[in-house]
Amino acid sequence: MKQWIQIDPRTKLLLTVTINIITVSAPQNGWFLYILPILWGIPAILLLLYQKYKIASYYLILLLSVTTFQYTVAPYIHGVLFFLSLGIISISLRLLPGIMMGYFLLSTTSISELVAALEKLHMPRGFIISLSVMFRFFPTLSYEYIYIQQAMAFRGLTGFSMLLHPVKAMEYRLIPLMVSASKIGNELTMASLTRGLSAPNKRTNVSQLQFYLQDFLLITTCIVVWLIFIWEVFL
Amino acid sequence: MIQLQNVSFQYQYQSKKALNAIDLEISAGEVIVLCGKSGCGKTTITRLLNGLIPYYINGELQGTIRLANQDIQAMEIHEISKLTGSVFQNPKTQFYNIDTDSELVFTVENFGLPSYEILNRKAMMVEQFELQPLLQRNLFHLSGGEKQRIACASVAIHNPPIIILDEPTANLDNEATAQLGEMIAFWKSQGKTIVISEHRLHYLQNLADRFVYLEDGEIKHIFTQKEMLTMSNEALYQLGLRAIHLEELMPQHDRLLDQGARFKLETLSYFNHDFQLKIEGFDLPFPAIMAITGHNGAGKSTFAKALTGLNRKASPTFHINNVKFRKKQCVQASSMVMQDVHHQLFTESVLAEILLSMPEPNEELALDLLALLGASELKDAHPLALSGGEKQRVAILSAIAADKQVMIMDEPTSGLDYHHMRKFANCMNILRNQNKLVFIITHDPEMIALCCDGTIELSQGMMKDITLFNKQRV
Repeated sequence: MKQWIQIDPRTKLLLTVTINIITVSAPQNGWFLYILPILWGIPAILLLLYQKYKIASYYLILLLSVTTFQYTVAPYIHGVLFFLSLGIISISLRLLPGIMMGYFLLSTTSISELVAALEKLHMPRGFIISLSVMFRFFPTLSYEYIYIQQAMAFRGLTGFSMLLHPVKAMEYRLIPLMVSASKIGNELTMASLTRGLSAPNKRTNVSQLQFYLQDFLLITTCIVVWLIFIWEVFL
Repeated sequence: MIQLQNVSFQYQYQSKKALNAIDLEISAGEVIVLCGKSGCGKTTITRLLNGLIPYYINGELQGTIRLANQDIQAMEIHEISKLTGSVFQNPKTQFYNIDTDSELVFTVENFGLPSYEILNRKAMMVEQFELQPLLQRNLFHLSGGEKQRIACASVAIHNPPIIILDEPTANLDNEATAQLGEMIAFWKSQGKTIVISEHRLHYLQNLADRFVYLEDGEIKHIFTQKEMLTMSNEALYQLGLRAIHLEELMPQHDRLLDQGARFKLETLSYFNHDFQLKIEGFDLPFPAIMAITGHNGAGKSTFAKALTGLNRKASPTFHINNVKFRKKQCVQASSMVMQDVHHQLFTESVLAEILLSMPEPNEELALDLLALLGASELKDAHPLALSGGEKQRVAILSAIAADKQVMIMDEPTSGLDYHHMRKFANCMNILRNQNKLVFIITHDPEMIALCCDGTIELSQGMMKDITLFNKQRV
């Protein structure tokens, strides 16, 4: 699949941090009535540009239905229902955009691009290595988790019986997962040590990073949003 | 090139020496195979040569090890890794990156070579190992053979004089194994020194110069290539080694007792954006032990998952003795022993594990089952502290305890020595007596000859052939 628009991993990192902090903590009034929808929309647009149509459309549908609900139905309900719907609305509107942006970062950045970006930002080497191992770990663990779920299905450890025993359900998932994680971590470390990861010299990175017009646009947006945020909240 | 002088090693927290007074000299350009039973110390030797011992794995090391006339005790692990390239057994965990391109250049990036030099070398590797179709791909989506090809290219990119392979074919089919053999032959022609720790010997018979046979951490004998070729399969079995002469393996024909019961599968299909599976309905005697064979990527695991009703998009229907099983009942009637068995062990003792599977826990019955597979002494052990073969038996036991009729085994004998493979085969014979139908996904012709009643061959998601060994075609 040919990618016709590239976004620099540094921009992606800045966007992830910005969207996560601002959508969670900004007040829903004044300037932010206009800024928040823009921030909600950015992950959707980026996902569409990177041809992740399925997840982008799920996100958009959820976003639209929640906002419609907020303005049409929510004002007319009371009591427990009101608080319940308020909870769901604020979780979806405040947390979801950040999660989607994080998903976008994880799914469209290769480990070596991320490492290159962090090196350009002069992060310490220990931090870069641990972050990149985490990046490698998430997809691996998700595959392991699928296997464990299947093993549980064969043992009849699914659905209703597990809902009744939440502690057991946790235990049966976590123990095999922890064993996998430590085994994989150990083998990964051995493989990377035999390939010179610990060499003290400066590491080369063949990923060429470059800012394009779209990066400048997105970065400017972030800076403007941060300035308004600081102005509104702290001054 | 490599000298081991009076080398002994004992892993931390273990009471026995893993290696005892090893003396071995390997000259430049030689291809050496380390063989022997599981736990004989062959993997430990590979770890000495790539520096993981003593730099990462703790223990007590004695003696001297010299690589290219340098004492490894005086070197750092990254200096050792300039001399050696290591390919490991598990393709899932030997990659640092997720995409193939970054993985290829990872080593040379670490050594800080200039960018243009890295790209030159990458182009060279792509040509030598025919990697063009594998570039820009997600490593998780490659087949076992393709992963191993990337692994070979990415450890050779810095042109080390020594290549070390630790059971590289454990997850490969016969064709991919043969391709690995070709890569080793290519390195040999370049004059590299190659050390391979391996159970499967047949693909190395014409490549290796010497076979070093280890037992309990000591070198018992060194066979030359000529000596090895003249040994019979039986003589190899005596040493606990796998067969070399695969063409001599003959399945036994008289095992399958046709008691009239049948297993019928209705046509099973499954579509996904990049794979389709369409298996014509078939009919088998019940009970039976059937091998599912085919290349990496032929759809063996997909078929197994679809058959047992695990796959959401497939709706299997099968009949056992005219009793119909639909999707939900299929999951209830079947069980799978996975390749990574630790995924399916949940409790803190073997007995509890078996009791958990029983519809109505019955300790007496559980103890009987343990005795049946000769595992009585394991009953209080922690499942995760067992050896690989023992874990496998516990998983099989839980499946019997749950009264499952259909069982799937996913590559159960990859990486097993002759003795353990034999034990597994005996276990299958017990399952046949217990009235089970077992499907074994496998690439192991020796195990098929020892215990299977027939094979189901898959190719590109379709059924190519079903054979029953008592010469009756289905």
